[in-house]
Amino acid sequence: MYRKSRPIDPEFLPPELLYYRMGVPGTVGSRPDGVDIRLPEDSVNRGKYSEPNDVLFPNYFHLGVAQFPVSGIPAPRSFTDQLGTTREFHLKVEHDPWEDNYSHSEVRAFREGTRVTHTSKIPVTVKAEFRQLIAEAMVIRVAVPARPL
Amino acid sequence: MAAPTAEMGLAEIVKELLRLHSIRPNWNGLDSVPPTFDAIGRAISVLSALQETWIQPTRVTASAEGGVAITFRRHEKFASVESLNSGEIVLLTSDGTGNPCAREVAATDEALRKTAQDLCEYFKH
Repeated sequence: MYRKSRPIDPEFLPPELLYYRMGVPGTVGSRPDGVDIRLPEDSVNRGKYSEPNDVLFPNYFHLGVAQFPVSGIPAPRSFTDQLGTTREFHLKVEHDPWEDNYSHSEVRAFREGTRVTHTSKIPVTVKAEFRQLIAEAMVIRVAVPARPL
Repeated sequence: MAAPTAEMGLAEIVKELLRLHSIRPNWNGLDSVPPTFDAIGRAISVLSALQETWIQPTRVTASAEGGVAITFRRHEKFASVESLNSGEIVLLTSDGTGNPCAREVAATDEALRKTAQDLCEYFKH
């Protein structure tokens, strides 16, 4: 998992799997009923360089893992505000390796092509729709352990 | 950070929502904060508005955005009502065909009653 001076790998092919740590209960192989993805950016591990369970290290073994392909990242969505201004929002996965986790990547949000770094810059309805679309592309790979919160 | 609610009545679901207030900060490793009592209170108002046309929630959960979500599912139809710490309430519906639809809901009695009616209609058809 260590980076060991390896460079950023910007190429994500559509079938590459992304692993996401999540707290939604469900059985392995089923679709999670909604997920708690945080936008404008959230962490995933890329399947090209990691195994599903790696996303639970070092101390998230009370959670489960869902996977989705790069092709499951939603298409852009438009939003028209109260002033009649329409803006396009899109998501993109980018490799963001850490020293102790080379596979670390982020699903990042962009508004009119510019990266968004503050949550208030994306309408809550657009975030909700993006989250649902990603959830619908997901399959549970590791179930959340059955124990009290 | 989610609790299935398929067998629960209103009082037990409210208890679950209140319990979410005590989850630890950064519970998901994303620096997410626990839901505030205000957000939980608004979610309880949503449930209260649903009482007349009761639709059984399938889950209550903390939101990575900060807040709580109540989810509903009947076969392929899914809906969620999210009450965020930032004050917004968002109703989302999706039939799983890639066309989810979200809209903001005002935290007024009238708007919440209308949301309950809309949910009821959505699951009726």
